[in-house]
Amino acid sequence: MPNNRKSRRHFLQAAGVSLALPMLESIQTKAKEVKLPIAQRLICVGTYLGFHQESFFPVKSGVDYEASKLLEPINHLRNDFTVFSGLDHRAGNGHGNWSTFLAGQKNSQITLDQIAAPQICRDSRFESLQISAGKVSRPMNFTKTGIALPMIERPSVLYKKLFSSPDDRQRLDYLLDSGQSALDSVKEQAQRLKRRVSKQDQQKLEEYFSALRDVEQRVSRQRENLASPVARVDYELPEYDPIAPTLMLECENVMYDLIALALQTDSSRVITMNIGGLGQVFTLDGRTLRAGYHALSHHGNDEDKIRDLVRVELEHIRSFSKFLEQLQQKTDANNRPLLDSTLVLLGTGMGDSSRHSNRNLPTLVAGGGLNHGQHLAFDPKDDSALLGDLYITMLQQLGIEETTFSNASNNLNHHLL
Amino acid sequence: MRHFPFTILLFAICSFMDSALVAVDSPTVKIPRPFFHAYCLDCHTGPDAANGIALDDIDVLATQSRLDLQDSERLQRALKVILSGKMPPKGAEQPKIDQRQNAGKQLHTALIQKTGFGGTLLRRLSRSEYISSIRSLFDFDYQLPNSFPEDRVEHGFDNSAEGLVVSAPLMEAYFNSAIEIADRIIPPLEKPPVRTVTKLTAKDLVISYSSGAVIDGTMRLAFDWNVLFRSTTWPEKWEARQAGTYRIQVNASQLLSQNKAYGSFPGSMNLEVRARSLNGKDSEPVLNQRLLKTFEVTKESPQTFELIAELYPQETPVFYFANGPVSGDKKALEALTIRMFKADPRLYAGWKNSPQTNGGRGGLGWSRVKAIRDSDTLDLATVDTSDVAMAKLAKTLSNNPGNYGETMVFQFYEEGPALELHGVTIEGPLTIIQTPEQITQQKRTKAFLGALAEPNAINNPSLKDDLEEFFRRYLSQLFRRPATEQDVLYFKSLTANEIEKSGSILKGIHLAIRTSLMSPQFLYRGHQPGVLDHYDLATRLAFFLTNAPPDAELRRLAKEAKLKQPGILTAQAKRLLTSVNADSFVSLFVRQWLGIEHLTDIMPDARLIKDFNDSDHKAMVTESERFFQHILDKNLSVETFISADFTFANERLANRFYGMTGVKGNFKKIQLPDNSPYGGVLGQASVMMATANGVDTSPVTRGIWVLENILGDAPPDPPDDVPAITPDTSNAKTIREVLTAHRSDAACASCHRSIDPIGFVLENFDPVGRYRTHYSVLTEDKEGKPFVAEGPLIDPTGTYKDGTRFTNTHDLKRYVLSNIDMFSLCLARKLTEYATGRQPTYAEITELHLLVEENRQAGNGFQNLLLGIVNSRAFRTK
Repeated sequence: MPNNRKSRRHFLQAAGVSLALPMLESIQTKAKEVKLPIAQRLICVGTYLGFHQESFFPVKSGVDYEASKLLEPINHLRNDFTVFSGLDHRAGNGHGNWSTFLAGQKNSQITLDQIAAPQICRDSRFESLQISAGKVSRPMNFTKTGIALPMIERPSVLYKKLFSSPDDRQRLDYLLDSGQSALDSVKEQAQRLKRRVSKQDQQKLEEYFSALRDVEQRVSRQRENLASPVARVDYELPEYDPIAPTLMLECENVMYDLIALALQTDSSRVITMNIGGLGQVFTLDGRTLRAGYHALSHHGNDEDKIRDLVRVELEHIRSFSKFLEQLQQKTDANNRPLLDSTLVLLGTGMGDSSRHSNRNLPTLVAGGGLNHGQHLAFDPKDDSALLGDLYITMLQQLGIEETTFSNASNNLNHHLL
Repeated sequence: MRHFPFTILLFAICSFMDSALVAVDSPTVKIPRPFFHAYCLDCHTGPDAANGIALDDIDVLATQSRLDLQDSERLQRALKVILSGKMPPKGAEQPKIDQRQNAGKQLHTALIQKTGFGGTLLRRLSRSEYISSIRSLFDFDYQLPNSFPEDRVEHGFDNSAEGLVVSAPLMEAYFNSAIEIADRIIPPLEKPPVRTVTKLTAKDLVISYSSGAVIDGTMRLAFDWNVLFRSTTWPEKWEARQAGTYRIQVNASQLLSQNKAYGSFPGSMNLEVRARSLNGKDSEPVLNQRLLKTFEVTKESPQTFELIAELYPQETPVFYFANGPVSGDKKALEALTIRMFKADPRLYAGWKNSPQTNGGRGGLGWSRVKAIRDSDTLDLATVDTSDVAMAKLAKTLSNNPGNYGETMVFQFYEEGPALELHGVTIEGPLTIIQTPEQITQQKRTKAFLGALAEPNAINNPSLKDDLEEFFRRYLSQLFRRPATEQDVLYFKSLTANEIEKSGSILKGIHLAIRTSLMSPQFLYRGHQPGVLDHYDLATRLAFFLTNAPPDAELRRLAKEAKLKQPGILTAQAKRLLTSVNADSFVSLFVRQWLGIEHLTDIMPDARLIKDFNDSDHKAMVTESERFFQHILDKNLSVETFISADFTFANERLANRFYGMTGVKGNFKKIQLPDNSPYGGVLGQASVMMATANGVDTSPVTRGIWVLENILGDAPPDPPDDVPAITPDTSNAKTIREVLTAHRSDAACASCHRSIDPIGFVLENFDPVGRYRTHYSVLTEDKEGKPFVAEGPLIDPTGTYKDGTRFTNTHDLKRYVLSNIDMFSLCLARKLTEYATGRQPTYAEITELHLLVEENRQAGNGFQNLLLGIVNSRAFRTK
């Protein structure tokens, strides 16, 4: 893949990030005050077309499983993740139900990331970030009220959001500075209004004053952040946005780099990435595949097509593996690898895209201080374990005391803690 | 007063109703304290008061000039039991009839006086009111960002003053939205662009599905399929960053046919260059993209074609072989296939014998077909090459143009005919242009700024006066009333300071806009207590009927102090009801009154209810909206809401849900057959679906819904220690049996006597509103496959608390119709709550009562009722 080399260069630059860490230090201070949960960040990655099950699931279960074809590129990290088979949400089949991936049995229910975000992301700049690699046809994240969240599909837009340019910073600083005088003005107006209204309305107006005070504080905090070097990252984006269908795998790599940087700068602690699966025609090892990704996924057990499909899927796993390596190398304020306190879920809402079956979803969880290094195999026909049970364990590991998730009300703590 | 058989309270009130409204302004009437002391306080005292209702503060209440909502409700309960004779209880000392009547009358009048009219809190703009205000002020549509907090629903409506709080996240959203809006009006300056030249080879162009293939260094196109990702190609790594003109050169040639089956390509190959936005979907039709130029490619040797094109940010040129040989259309593909098979039977044999005929997809599939076609061992004599056999295969293949087209098109890429692109060069921007939106916005901004937009305005000696004039105009519209001199001067100096600091008028105005959009005078309405003045009345009327601030005509009438004249107020209300924005009133009110706003959250169990989709949700809500709109527009009688023998439906709703046949097309008025269970809000799918959960129905939910939203007689919440009733569909216990047990408990019975019989009647509607006689149950066949079977017979009968017997929905409708004032009052009350943003007081409910009765005597037109509300004292008071 010609783009691979380029991405690799980005990756190396990303590793050499120069930044100060006021935010991460603030975590450290807190760590002294309260006992923090082991996992503090959540990353969820979903592939639209899933993974070829026979190539993904190891044959043997337990700790001494032998890496499957798709898990080979990540086998050197085997002690940092667990692979699951036999789990799903008992949701309906078809592409339409892909969005149940993080939602549970039904579409539009609040998703795992959105449950976690308000609880673990209070202090970071973005409560959660939704990203896609390639154009995607289904949403992956839903709010409490069932609203599908839009995804950022351009690396340049994400980068700008995370690490604004000096020009952007200057303008933002101006807006915040003059915004402070705007806040002062409206406070004065409200005080004048207060004198004219009834007693009850004066009480009602207290809401306004109190909200104003909060925003004033936020604005001055934002200005302080702007002045700090935290947002300055020396990472070179490609000159173009890799959003053409043919460049999806490159986009995936760049997005992973940006996610790692976002975590390192504590810009957000809940980030999701939706990896598309339309007709993208990829060029791997210099050879253009003879069919689009989607066509390959409908392999009908044709060996040649499965071979090409698995080659694409191997690229996903390689990118994912490089991402985990980044999280191992980058450290938090306690000088511990980010991966140790970051739960990373790689999964899908599609069990077997050739048949549009949403049973037995290929799932992998890395990091976050769980007891890894195993293949947990469940019987997909048996109702003893649901994918939601895994999510409950993940939420609990993040310090969120949930005991149910959609149709699930058990957990996998006994396997993973 | 046969219209109120269910409570003597209302009967009694109506008998002295005439005095009711006068009462507010007449000499003070006291609470009948001696009556309370003599007959109530023995039991209703202290922490152990009977039924938890203590009245020992009656002397205090009597001295208060104004009662709050809770105290007033407590006394209303007392009034109810005094008049109905329920209290004092049997066995206790009883007052004489006239004592009772007098005490009741006195308490009623005292309540009216002590509750009075008005009392809406400062009411902040709701989300939708904020959006419409921005549109009205600046003439563009502003879409709230996702992070903009939702409004809280209070008493069933999202526009109640109590629920519309200002929180810190909301204030932050106002802060950020104000920046975005100011940026739209006065865009930040952009850096001048740099001209670049980009040279692209065939390998730098996009392929998706089988839209093209790179062979011998050329991008080959052959598909004429009207979907971007099926047939076109565009640069992988180039898009316009700046709106401007660009020079596009494309080097193209014909690849003529060595394709025995296809033959020669007639005429020129038409290469269309179109502009597409990379922010758009790849699945969009090609022909929807802006055509820049069509080139006729006629030579086999490469030739450079050039055009100068206007491109906007995120756009890139897309290349399309407009008369390509392979179509994505089934019929055309089939005809082509038959022709090719006949011309080359070996090709046919290749397809026939390919191991993956249908799953070949792409170049891989084609290489297998080709291998067979070109194989030495292929013996055509062993293949059935009859016309029938070829036609059959052609049909099967073409039936799935995706699979087959993606594969067979590779023959064209390899053997032609195809259009070859050798390379593309893009240079620019040569000149900078403006997008149509930018041009429109500039016009708007110029009109908005007036004299301030003049060149060199900053040096204009009249700058200060111009600023003053600008703010007088802008702030008056923003605040929905004339801006005070103080406000004008304040904003003028704020702006002048910023102009001085930055040397830019635009920066000053930008700051002023940001500030003004966070002003409490913009964000809150209804500042002055008491009777609304002309401006506040215009504002209340406009937000009520159009969900938007007052338009120019209302503003003028307010300024001329004419709006309060009864004829004018009514005429304005009628005018607004026919305006475009009245749609949002109908939609917002109907959705919230009927509780059908979140219908899309309910997804029926796909095993029980087949093929349900989002368009059904939408159709159901549309039906309710159109129905309401129709009754309003035609001033049909209020009874129509219950008794209508028509509804509005599209083909799918009528035929799939309402058991009709032969209804065709889009939404229209539909006459229902005689005795149809549908028609009216008590037979609408939206309501039935909203009161179920997609899987089961619950008589309790539906019963309460009718009491709350139709009869206006909502039961109190159940005691905390009672678990919710869940239907048990799996075993023999029917919901009826569960509820019968429930009613045997006296505490439950007092409410369930009204709830259950109504709910049972509505059990004949399934979770999506289809009429049924039996429950459906999900069972498994011998192989363990689930299927839907007919379950127990539904028994819809019941006896309402006043002894009325219900056997079907018609009985329920008849009951409501014979008590139509209850429904009218309920509806009038909901409209008043929606309009005023608060719960009406006792005095106001009494006023509505009177209005409802008068309106019934005058024919009961619904539009008249609504106009009556607009003229009511409740509506005209803060």
